[in-house]
Amino acid sequence: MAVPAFEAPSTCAGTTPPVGGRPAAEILTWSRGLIDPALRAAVDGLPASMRHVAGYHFGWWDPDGRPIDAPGGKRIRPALALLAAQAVGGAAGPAVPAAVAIELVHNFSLLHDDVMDADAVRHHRPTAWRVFGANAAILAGDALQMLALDVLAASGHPAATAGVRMLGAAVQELIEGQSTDLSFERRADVTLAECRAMALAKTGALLGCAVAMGGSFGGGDPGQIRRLRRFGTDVGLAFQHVDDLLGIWGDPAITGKPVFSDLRSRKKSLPVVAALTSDSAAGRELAALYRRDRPLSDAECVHAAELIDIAGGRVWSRAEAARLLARALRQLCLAEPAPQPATALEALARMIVIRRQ
Amino acid sequence: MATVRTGAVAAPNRTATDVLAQTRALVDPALRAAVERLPAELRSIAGYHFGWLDLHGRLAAAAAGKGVRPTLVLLCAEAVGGLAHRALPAAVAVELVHNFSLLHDDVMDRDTMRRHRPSVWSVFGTTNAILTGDALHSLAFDELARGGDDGGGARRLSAALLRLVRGQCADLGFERRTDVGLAECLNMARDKTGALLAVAGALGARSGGGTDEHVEGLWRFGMHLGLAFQLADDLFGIWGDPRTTGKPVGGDLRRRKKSLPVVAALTGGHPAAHRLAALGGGDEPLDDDGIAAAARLVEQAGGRAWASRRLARELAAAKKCLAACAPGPAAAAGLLGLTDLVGAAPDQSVPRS
Repeated sequence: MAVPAFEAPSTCAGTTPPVGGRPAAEILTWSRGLIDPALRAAVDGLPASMRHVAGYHFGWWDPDGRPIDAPGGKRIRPALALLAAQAVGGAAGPAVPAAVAIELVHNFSLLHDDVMDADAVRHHRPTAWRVFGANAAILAGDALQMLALDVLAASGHPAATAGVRMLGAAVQELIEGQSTDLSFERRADVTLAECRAMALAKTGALLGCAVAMGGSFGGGDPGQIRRLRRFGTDVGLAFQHVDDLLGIWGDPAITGKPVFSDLRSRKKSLPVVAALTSDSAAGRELAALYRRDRPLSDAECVHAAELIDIAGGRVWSRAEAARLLARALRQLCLAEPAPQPATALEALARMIVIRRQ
Repeated sequence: MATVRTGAVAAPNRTATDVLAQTRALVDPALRAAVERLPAELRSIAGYHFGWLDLHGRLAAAAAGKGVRPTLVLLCAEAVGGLAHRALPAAVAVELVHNFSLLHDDVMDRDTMRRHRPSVWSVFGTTNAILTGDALHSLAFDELARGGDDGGGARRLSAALLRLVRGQCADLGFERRTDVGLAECLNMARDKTGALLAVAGALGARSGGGTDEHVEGLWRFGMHLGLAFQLADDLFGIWGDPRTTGKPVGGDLRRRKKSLPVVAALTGGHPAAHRLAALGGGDEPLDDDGIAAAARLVEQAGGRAWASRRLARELAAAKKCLAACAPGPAAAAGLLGLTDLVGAAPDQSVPRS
């Protein structure tokens, strides 16, 4: 079955993808210039042992505390928050606390996630719990969650109180998504709708919140903030599709994780559930493989990936990612954003969804 | 369900036990309402932890904690002339973060029992215990926001939690060391236990409309109470009756925990300290004979006496801070009763939280 070439959706202005705007990499560099000092300052306030674990996780130093510059995440969410503030006519600077808080929450969830999933590698390096022990990683995650709220509340920004509620709601959704994801492990009857709802909670909510909070800190009106949130949520769900595809077919050199990692653990990811519920021979064979009690062998992983492809899971996820991106960009337009930040937001959204494939 | 008067928590001639019960009558419904907002799976796990459900999700009525912390919040609101029900969101928030920390604590300590029942991680798994803790943590701040907090309460609570984490880290670090000093052990106890009780006092005073002096004074009251609480807990951890502690006898000693009486014994300069240190070396848990020997040595080396004296000192300091706030008489009596309850010596049948 031929996989259709990915078509980049056009912007709502009817033109092809923007030219002349800053490339995504440059946008991220600009954003990091604003975020990193504030992030480091926040982490600096943690107790020494927590600071040490957090800084290792963020890629700032090695296990012995020697400064390095390891990849520690692209910091996409804070970039989206800053751009959203600008998009509604505000300045990026005052939105930095919101952006930092979002990134802290994201990383609290990664620290705990890696403990719960017993993942050994993140960003091509041993995970924090592998280096420092599960207890230290649990505490570091707890500390980052506390720090996020503290950064927001301490900002003194007029939108801070509303921000605390928004971020709290996003955290609750994130946790709900993780809990649902966990419950899927025991079930053979997960529907596509349930899987989608889980992904929205697990990934979409925080991305949506990042953009919404940025818009709020930038002084946007409720209508704009709603649209921006939908933009972020759709980008988040598209992101999850792409992430799930990479979890099966991704190049380890890029993903930083072993090939077929999601299949090995028999994860019920979006393309997998699409295949399982496809009412096809391939889907039924996949279901049989997934009913096994033990992790899949290398050969079984290769076969499972083929089955997902044959059952249409791969094509479906790619198409969904494209559809969601297009929908996200329409929502962005409807928010009537300032043109330059809008172009930058679009560039980031495309980078998240397209470039990694 | 019986209707609950939104009356005062403190009242003339009301015993400490009755004050706790009155608090529970107010706080319990609000706590349950908050937990209702959790996703279904975590809701039933939280329900098990709080003693409302059994491990199959059926209704139960297991022992919950005593509720010292939310009681402190409500009483401190009344102490500055405020109403208990205005402090309810803060009381619920404090109880939620306390239980978040218990859930994670049990995972980190691998404690299989909590309040006479299997701990959440031992029943539902580590992942669920971590997630439920995270959810309660977040719910606490949501509760504050819903209660109309202007951000000041949230800041105080997150600052207290960061101290709590600092204390837990220090406690974790102590396990690997043989040179823990008494001063740093006291600081660890202030962080790990005092900070949350202190913020309970402060949030209560704030909710009750107290002045900055009131808030500061009741914060200090809570901090002394917290240290007293830890000292009493550590004394129980060595010499407490398991029927009341809900934990195995000498559990702290079995794990070679550097609790306050132990560190006092090790650093007190008594000859028995060397024998205690020798017993404490080694990686495997102590057996029953080892525990009994260790307990005797801690006592011989003066650890028990020091802890008891320090406990009395902290209780007295707490009462002094309280008096300085000129609290209303009923609330004062309630807080003094709570203080005595917290500091109750081992062998009294007071269920520990």
